[in-house]
Amino acid sequence: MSYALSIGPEAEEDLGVIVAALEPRYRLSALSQIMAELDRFADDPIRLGARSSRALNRPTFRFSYELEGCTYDLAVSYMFAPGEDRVVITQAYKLRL
Amino acid sequence: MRELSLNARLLRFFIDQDPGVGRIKLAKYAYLADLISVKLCRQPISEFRYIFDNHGPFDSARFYSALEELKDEAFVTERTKIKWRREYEYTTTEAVLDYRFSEVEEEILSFTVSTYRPYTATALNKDVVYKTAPMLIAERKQPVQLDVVLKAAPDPLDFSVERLLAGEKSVRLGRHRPIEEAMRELRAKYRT
Repeated sequence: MSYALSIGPEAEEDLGVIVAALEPRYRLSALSQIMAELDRFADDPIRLGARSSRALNRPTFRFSYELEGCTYDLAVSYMFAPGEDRVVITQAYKLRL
Repeated sequence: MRELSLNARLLRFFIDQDPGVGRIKLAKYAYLADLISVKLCRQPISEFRYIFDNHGPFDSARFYSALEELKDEAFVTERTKIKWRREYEYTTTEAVLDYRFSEVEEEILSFTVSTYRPYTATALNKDVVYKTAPMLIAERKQPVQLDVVLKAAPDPLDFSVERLLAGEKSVRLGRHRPIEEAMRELRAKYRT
């Protein structure tokens, strides 16, 4: 089942920091790939998300994007908005190697 | 009534969340919560200083002193069971205690109990505690170094409990917007 996807202000800031940490020439490509992954997630969050003990058992979606052959791993924590077919991202963060 | 120590408040919190918990498990909860806190916040919650004791990481002096405080001030009751050896179980009394933990600390303590409550004390020790990074390199009767779980310098792009809780609070207050809007703004920022 597909859900509408929203983002909270803190997670928005997180994404901004994550992308700003990249060389300017990679930022737009990173943003497009992140958006594509989040769209894929919103199509089926129940199947693609999982509780993560690393994130204190919060529902988490992990994904990757690639820039010039390097893989970057990210994760977002999220909540289901009560009574709505909407998922809201509460935090975005980098997964360490 | 005297002020309870941090360690006593921590143990009382665990007993509150897992009534009837035994002594061994209580000590393991403290160790695991401290370890999680070091990993996520770079510092433990309690003031225990763990030694690789007979049954894993333990600070017997501070642990028993915290339990005594709780019993003396009537915040917990101790029940003794004799099976093949003497066992102690703890439950809280009706006395109200202001735990005074931060939101982040409370989140970590609750997470510890909800995650590890299903384990028996033996399994918790063998399958979880002994497999944690500090215990894998600890030597008997020597201090257990919790900070081996710390990666180099803290990275602002890592997972953060504070930010998670702040993010959840915002969302509960209805502060969120469609992702397309947010991404459009970010793209516009980097296009220029």
